Amino acid sequence: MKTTDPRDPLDRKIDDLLTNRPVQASAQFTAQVLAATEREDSFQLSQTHAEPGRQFLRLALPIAAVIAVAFTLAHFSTSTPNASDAADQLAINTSSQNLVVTPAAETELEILLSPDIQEILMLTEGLAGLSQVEGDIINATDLLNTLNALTFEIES
Amino acid sequence: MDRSPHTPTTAIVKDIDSACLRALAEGDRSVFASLVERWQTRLINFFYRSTQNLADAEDLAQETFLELYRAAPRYTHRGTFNAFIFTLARRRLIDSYRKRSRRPLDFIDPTDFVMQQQATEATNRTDEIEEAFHRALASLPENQRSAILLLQQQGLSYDEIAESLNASLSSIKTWIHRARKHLRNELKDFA
Repeated sequence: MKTTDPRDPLDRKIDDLLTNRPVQASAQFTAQVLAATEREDSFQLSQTHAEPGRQFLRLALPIAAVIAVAFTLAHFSTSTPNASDAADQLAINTSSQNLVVTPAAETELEILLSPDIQEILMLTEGLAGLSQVEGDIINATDLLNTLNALTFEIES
Repeated sequence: MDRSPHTPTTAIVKDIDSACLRALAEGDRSVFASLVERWQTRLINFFYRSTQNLADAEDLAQETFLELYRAAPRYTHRGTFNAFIFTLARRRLIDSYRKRSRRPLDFIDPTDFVMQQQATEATNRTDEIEEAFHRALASLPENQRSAILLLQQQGLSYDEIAESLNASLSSIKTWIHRARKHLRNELKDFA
């Protein structure tokens, strides 16, 4: 495809303008580029070093949450009355108060279990959510302190 | 008819560039400085013709070199190094247009503005045709401008331009023809 006529002065002028490279890089340009690549390298290196810790946190936190929940449930299952005890208690209340039902045992169960179960569920969700947080923001020591504090609160 | 800048010298230079990139991929970082030295003027001038601002042109060239540095491990010898580096360069250019279009209003320091005006006036006085050429080039669609700059400023072949701009050979020829026609029309007063 012929786009230029070498005899045409305007074409020659346009060729000159197009082939011209009017600007030069500043004196520090190469140094700046190399500094940028070094920053890039150190960033990549820090990412690589941070990666195993982050992987560990992602795996360990849900496991820790499951263990905490299992211990808590085991604790409550040994201390709460079973269903037959609750039924006996209800029967006694019913007979002694002349057929006026006072669901004392059932209420007691609800009082004992509902908020605690909710608390456990919230704790589980909270710990699962913490596992999604980037490792740079919260470090492992903070997370373990938080877990200890929450476990202590449940146990007390 | 296609421009073919494949002289023995340019072939050797291209081999050096590819070899540098391969060495970089294998961990030899010292070769990167020579690559930057060899390509900085070409890249900066390519960007300067599109941005008309030296600082922006240098920023874009630096980003392109960084991209090249990152891309070194996945560089294959399938195309030419010319096509490869200008593919990266054009991506940076298009990204900069997108960023600029999302930014509603640039903050202009009044001092900078006055200095810029004075510099523009000086340029107008010294080289009116250069200014008109800049305006004509700026009014071209990006694909036409890149195509004609890669052909004439950078000396790429039509095949390399087609690879860099991810277009067919016939499209490239059409874009260059239209760009040339537009420039002739805009600069006819300087004939």
